[in-house]
Amino acid sequence: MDIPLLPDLDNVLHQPVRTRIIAYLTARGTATFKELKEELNITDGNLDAHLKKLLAKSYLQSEKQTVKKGRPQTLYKLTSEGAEAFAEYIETLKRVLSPIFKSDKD
Amino acid sequence: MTVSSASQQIEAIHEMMSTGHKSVRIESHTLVIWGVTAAVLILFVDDIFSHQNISDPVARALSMNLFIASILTLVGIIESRMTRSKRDARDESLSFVQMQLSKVWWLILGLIVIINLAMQFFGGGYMLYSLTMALMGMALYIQGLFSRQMLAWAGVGMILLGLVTLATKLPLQLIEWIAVFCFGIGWPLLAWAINHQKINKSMIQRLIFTLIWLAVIIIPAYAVTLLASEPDYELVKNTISLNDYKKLQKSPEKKQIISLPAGTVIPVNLNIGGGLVNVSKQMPLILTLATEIKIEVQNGSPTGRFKLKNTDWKIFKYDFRLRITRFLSSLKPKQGPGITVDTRIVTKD
Repeated sequence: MDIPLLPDLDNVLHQPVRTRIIAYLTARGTATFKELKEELNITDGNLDAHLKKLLAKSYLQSEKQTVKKGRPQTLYKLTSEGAEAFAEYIETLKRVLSPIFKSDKD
Repeated sequence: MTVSSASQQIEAIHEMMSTGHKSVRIESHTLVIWGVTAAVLILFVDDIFSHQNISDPVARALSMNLFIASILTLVGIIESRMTRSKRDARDESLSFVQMQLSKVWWLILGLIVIINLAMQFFGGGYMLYSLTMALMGMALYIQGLFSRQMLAWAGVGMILLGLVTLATKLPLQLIEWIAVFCFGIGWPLLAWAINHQKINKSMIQRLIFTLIWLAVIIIPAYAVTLLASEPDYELVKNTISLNDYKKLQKSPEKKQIISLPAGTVIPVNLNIGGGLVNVSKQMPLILTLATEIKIEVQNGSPTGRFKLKNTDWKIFKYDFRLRITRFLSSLKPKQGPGITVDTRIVTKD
């Protein structure tokens, strides 16, 4: 049964797609728009909207990279603010789940 | 927020972090290019930089390793450009981990070249191909930890190949062919497997593929070793005696097998250099054969195939060893200075 809880959560990170974007970039370092789109399996518009929110909050930074052929490549990378916020967010999730794990052990 | 949504978020984070860590992709052409290059180098470098072509051992060792390093650098540049171009076309980036893994690959390649160079001065050449397979297997295994699991499995397979070939003291010729097939056939096959979804997802499929992969390397290597040692049946049938061979007007251009009976006299010209002693007069050392030997000859020179009585055909490069077992100097009042050198000529059975 779900128990309602009210912890202090980061609204930008507490969204399934954005959480997954941050988790993926934490592990991989950098990724292009296309790579993120393929991993998350979402539309261009949807991904663009989520990336804009993360960029606006300075959790992500984008940098243009010149490639020899075709158009320039945009790389997305986690900022230190983003990394800190993500670590705090995980701590909050752990706090939410800790009573359950405790009662399981009891 | 509910407990179930928190739990789902944690699971999503785990899944994406795992995907992110294992996102390093090795391109198919990378395995094909490096595999074929390694196989070609193993097959031909020894023959190009043979004792006959370059007699000075230092010059031979240095030029050989300079050649290998140049080829590896050239292939590295070509492969890197191809990878960049493919990534750009797909709008993909090179991750941080991937760039670090490239450094590991270059370190291991450099280590193999240094080991090869060192072995030419300090010995141990028998271990080179086994060590190369084990070290490259280690690189594949490390790559597999951040990429497709099949790479890690093949890496373990290569490490085992390297260790088992050494531990069981297989003939050098067989180890060389195992290395050639491992890189020349095994790696292109691996390039196909890493893009095969079923093999990468199922453990049983990976196990089956690894066993088939090892069989594809070992069985042909064993068959080629057997075939490479044996001369043509027609040549064996038409073996001629040393006396008949001596009657020929000139050395035949075609291959021919000559039988040298026990007792045949073989003059050995010893060339001693180094500046410590002078050879006053070239005196050949006279040896006589203790057993009958058949030798394949072309244009007046042995091709390298030989057969002792009651043994299989052998290859000189792999099966013939001259060992100096003792070097004893003496300086006695009556006899004066003297040197005794014990040597053994051995062939592998």
